[in-house]
Amino acid sequence: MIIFQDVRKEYPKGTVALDDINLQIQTGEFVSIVGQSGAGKSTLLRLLFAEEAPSSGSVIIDGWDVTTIRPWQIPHLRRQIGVVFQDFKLLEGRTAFENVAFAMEVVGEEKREIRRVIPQLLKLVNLTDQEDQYPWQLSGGEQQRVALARALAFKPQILLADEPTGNLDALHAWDIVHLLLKINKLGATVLLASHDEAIVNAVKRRVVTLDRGRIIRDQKTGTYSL
Amino acid sequence: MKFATLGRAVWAGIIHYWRNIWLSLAATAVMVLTLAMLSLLLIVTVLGQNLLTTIEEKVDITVFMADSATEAAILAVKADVEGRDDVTSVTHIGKEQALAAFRQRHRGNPLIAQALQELRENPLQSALVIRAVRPEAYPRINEALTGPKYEPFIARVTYDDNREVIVRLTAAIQTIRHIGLGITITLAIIAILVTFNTIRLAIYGYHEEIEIMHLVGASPWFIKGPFVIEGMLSGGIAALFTLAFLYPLLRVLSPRLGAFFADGRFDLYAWAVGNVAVVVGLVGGVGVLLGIVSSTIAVQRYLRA
Repeated sequence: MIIFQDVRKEYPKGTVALDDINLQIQTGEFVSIVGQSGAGKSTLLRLLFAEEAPSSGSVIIDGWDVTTIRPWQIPHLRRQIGVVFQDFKLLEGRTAFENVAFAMEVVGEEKREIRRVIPQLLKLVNLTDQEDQYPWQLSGGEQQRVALARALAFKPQILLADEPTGNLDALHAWDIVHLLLKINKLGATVLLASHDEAIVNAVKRRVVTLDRGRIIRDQKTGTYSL
Repeated sequence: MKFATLGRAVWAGIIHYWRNIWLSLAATAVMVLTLAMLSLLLIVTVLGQNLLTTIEEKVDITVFMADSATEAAILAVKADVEGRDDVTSVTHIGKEQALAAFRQRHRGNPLIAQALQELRENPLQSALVIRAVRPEAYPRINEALTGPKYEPFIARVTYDDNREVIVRLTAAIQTIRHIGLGITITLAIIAILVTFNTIRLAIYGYHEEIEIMHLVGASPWFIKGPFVIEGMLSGGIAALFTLAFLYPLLRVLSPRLGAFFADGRFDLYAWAVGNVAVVVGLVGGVGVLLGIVSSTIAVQRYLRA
């Protein structure tokens, strides 16, 4: 479960990124966070994996209070949340297999287990034949699928996707969205930050709309409308 | 750190070194230069110390005994002086011995030989040649010898003749030691900073990777581990290269350096072989330590916890 309570995020120069955010997301939900660029979508997600701290209010994710989290606890929190970024954030010097393996090594998985699980994860994202490819040898869509496989390596209960289709063409974008829906169907809570109207409308799930840092709409089965 | 985690860090460090071989070799090469510089400083320090010791050993004072002093009294004075903490050696040169040495020294001069023949008795005095532990001790030794205790037995002490030379030499040696230490420390710091910045620059290329690792939940030490191992590897390999060049070079240069700095009485190569643990420990230790410290600090910079 994710709870935002009276959350405000203000940057040192006085820019308010989020204000008066009150939001509850139940386990197993698929929520699209929509809004124009600068509306606060990415900031909202960054608060969840403790990349940033709220200026006031509290953020609770899966039992962790991000507001009071200690620096040494942050890696532990991040190992329970899968995150997918717009720019993929893959390790350039590692193959697709090694990128996914890294996430499993982080949690101390045995080598044998890593060798057993990764082919399954790569199969799930349709990258079976590309496990030895480096990120620069893969297309944008393939890189994003590697990132998705890496996010799933933790077996997370929550998956955050920050504009995961932002750098992809329509075909690859749909691949990713279908995968997110599949992951949600397997039981994970998915938060998708997007400004892609077609995708949000096609998903037909809960839509939270942000405008200049505030929630202006929260629809159970919503569409993209600003 | 668990054994498996340590093993992973070692393996990842080796792989990282190998996959970025040109960058790794560049960092290693800079470390070789740093370690070569530190080795050179070590050699210069050792040679400098020997040179100063050689010069110090050339300084002594001679105590000419009074003709009236008996052999027993001379030996008693000798024993007294030898008992001092600041005295290294006291050599007794008897009258006959002094005369023989004098003759030998002037054997090509017939005038002196004739003069000695005309004299009925040995004009030379027996003497004690005193060497101090440090040149600074000579004024104190002179003071003791010219005191009332030894007045009946001692005719003259050469300290007054050499006073200015001894004082100047003592000051010069001290200044050289201080300047040498200052130069050594400064050059060592420069060499270390150059290496540190090279490793920092090498790791700067990976700052995005480090941030990504942090984002996907890697703990700071999980991220640092391979970089630290890589730094150790660079330092270790650099130390091996340095030592592989250093010993053959010393073997070739040692006779010349020894002749120049210590009258041929100091064999630098033999010293380096005799102190192999110190040399290897210093070069290897500094190399590995530099690698560890530089990479740890450099990675820490990109870990925003």
